[in-house]
Amino acid sequence: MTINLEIIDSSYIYDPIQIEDLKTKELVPKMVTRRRLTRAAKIAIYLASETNFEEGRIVYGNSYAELDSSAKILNSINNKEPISPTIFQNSVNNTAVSYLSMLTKNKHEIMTISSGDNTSLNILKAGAIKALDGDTLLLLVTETLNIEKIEELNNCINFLECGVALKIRVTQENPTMKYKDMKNIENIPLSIIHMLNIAKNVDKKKSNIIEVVL
Amino acid sequence: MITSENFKEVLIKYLNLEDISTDEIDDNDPLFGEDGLGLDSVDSIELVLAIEKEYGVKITDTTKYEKIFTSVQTLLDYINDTMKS
Amino acid sequence: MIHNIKNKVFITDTASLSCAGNNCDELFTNVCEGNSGVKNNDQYSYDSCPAIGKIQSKNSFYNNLIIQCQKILDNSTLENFNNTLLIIGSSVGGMSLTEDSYFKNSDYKDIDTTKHNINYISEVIKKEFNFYDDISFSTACTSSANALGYAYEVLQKGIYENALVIGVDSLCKTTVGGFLSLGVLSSNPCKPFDKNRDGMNVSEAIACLLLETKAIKNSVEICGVGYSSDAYHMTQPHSDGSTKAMKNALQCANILSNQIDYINTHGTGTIANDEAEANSICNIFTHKPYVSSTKSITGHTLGAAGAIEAIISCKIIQNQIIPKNSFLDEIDNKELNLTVKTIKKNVNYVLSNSFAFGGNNCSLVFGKVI
Repeated sequence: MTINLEIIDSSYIYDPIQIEDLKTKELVPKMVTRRRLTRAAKIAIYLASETNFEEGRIVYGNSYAELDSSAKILNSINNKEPISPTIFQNSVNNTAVSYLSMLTKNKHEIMTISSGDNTSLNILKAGAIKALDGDTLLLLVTETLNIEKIEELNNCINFLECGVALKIRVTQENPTMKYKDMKNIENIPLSIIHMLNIAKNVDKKKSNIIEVVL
Repeated sequence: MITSENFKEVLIKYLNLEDISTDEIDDNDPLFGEDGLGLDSVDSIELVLAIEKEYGVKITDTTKYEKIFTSVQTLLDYINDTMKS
Repeated sequence: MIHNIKNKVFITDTASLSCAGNNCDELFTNVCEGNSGVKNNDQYSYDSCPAIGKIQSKNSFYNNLIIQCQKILDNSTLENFNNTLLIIGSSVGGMSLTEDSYFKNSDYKDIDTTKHNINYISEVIKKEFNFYDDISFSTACTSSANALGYAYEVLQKGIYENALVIGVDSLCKTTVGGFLSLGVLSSNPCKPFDKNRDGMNVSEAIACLLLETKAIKNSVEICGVGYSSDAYHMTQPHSDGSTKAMKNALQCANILSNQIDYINTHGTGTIANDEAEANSICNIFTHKPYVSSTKSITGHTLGAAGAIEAIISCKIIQNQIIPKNSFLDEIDNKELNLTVKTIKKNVNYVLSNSFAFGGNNCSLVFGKVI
């Protein structure tokens, strides 16, 4: 079975080490909120803004979750020190979209998927199935791997921070984009690759319709 | 004796307060709620941990929590009083 | 453009392993009789001995995962899982393995990164069984409730033939230590909705449910799902959010609030959750359906909670028995109709709640097949 999705808006961002300007101060003016945001949350907030998505259902995903929070917790346990409750609450996979929902007062259904290298593919599939209900959804994927001593664990990923957002709705029109025409970026986390390829191939002057195979 | 300046630096460090300097925090500002610093219950736990780590002062009497955690000044007074005894 | 298919969806088979039972019958018996599997344990914390729910088994956690999947296959009408969508709901994934590796020599290099993430669970299962496809959800304590909601949606829409939902979380120092840091763990089996409740119990479980679009003997219907986000705080719940999720579930199931006979609450035993949840329930369900929490018996199995409580909800409908609230001494909110004894009752519809960090909420409606 297949479902066709129209890409209404899209945005992507990545950096080998740390993405420079995520407009966080502008998008999150309240300091007491801003100070708690994880890198993934800042990327999610930025991408949602770039795609002009304010309210509605979100399908989000990541493979490595909040690695910095997890690493800090492990180190606290290892050193027999108290765990920071702020860091613990920031360690769940759905941290980034939770902060996004708080910021925008978005009370709709928000899903978080974590399917390893197939994460963004599964976000597309789940998003397509949900889009059959007729609404416009935001598909979002992030990876944030820029933690202390990451080089001890990583020897294949050259972009430690990345994210993609696709604002979509279902359509009966024929696909205009083909997966086979898309080229992979080397050494970017595979968990974002399906959505990144779509975002990179979007032509803002035309309609962009992709076929999702279930 | 812990100074107000030193204590505010501890607050900024442990609560990750950004873009705020010690002289922007008034001693009598409420710690919690919209009218003051805007801290929440998770911050109160972080503060207890921070105060124990930095000053060796344990805050265990939860019945006195509200009074102690009213403002920067009340918290600082509690720490200094406890350290004296 | 409207998608025309609207199948009914049924739970046709279940399997579970938790501190409260080696199978679903044992689990339900212990829930009804008040035999808690939650015990004090100092293995997961360096300076505390909270009450937690550990599975008693000579097999490894991951071997048990395979065994439970095999049980589902053996008891079902399926020959294999070739046309089955595997849906995992987990909040910790392989974290306990990462901990074991890292704490040996405090060296990141000892960590096997392929065993850390959420999808490690599905990788373990796919080595033994072939599935049509797989997807994993990770939304803290609503992980497997959301997984069930997704299973319901995709089968209702006729996208897949059937689905195996597995709620799974293993105990680890991260979650025990994390909840300790928030000051919400109890040293005793929890007392949800009690005036003197003092916290929750972290627990582990493997809970499997097979969903199909055809009912067989003893099937329970999954009638609807409701989602919402609090948009309020990472760890403090807001009753507007839980209210919205429950109302959405009723609307999805196309039933009225007064048709719900029993509510299996999220009921963790924390001050915050139980108060917010009680307020939501009282606002919506003015006919006062029976209400209980089963977490005093199973503990809070985090990512597995939605699934294990769905299994308990199925047992309630199949047996027409409503379990008591164990360890309930003094009711906090007297408007709630909390069961103090296990009773035999006509049960047509059950509502099951799960609420999570980040204000993620999911409510499910289960119904008797007539």
